[in-house]
Amino acid sequence: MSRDDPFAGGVAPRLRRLDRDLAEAIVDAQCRDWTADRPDRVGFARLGQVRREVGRAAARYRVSPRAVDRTAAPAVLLAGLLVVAPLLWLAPDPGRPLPLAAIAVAGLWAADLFRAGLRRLRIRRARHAPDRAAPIDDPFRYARARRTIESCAAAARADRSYRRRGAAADLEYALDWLSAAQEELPRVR
Amino acid sequence: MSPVRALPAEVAAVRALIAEGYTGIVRAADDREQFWIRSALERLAWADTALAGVVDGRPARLRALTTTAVTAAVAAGSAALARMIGGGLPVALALAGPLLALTLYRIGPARRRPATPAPPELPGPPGSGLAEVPAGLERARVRLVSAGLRRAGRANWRPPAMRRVIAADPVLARLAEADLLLCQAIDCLERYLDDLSKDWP
Repeated sequence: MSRDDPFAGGVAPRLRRLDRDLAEAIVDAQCRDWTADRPDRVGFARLGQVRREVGRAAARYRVSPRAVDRTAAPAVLLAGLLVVAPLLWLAPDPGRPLPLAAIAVAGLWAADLFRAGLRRLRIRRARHAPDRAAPIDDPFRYARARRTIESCAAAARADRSYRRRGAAADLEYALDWLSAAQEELPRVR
Repeated sequence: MSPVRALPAEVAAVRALIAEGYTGIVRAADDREQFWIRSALERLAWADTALAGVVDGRPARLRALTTTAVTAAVAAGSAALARMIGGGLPVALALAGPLLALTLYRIGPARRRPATPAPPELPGPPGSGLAEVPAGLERARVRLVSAGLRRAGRANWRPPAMRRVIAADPVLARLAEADLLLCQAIDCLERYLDDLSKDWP
């Protein structure tokens, strides 16, 4: 298999999407292990190894993971509408340096506050939400991850840059860990 | 009713157990550069640094202060620049908006480098062996998980709410990260012991 879909974008966005998928599956499996809903401390640890190797490959492509969740944009919007715009409207001569700096700082803190509030709201809503199936048990997810990793490794091997060719080796490790996570090798005891 | 134990004490106990496991591996392993042994030691050291970050809140406060100061400086600077050019508030806003977005984007995502762990050199007397180490690490993990669950609160013990709590609370996120690393270390050790027991040539 050389590449899954030549129109799916370059290697970097595919790696970023894969990283997000893996993170979701890992956190979900870890929660289920903590709450004894699906006790298994090995599967998510191995998926974590996959994610580490994928992250190392992504670092060779200079992909930085985005630390923005779903609450960031509404929080910024709310802070802009409810705090920054009224302050700009009401303050006398807000174009001077000090008032503008104060307004910017107020907007920043308000965005943080709104973000914390929105997160608390989301947690409260999730308390009674129906549960879904664990993504770590989904075989199609493993197949998709394997396909993505293989195609990215093929693309990395054919890359002109020496640094990016090194990503192929990391992705090979990631494939090993992925199959270890899926197949759950037998152990002592 | 058992007394509610404070998080720092609990984390210190977990760190002590992790350090014990670390020295146990260092003493019992004959080849520290073997792949599984080396990965287990690395992961234990990373888990320890993650837990050290739970107790020490200074970096987070420092980051908040830096962000505030940089925001104020950029806003004031762009306002002064707009004055100098001769424009009013619209020019100042047009300058400050993109500049603020750029600086917050540069500061924003936590660019965490994994700290290089400093392994303690302890060539002491050989302990009971490598086979007992995973059990000790599992004890550490039990304490860590119960501390995390207590931190999350009983109302959030179902997986959909738990996922969001872990995403929202930085302390709990660090505990989860340490737990993940600890599980990886245990897994590496068990695979090494498994390879040994198979007695391959």
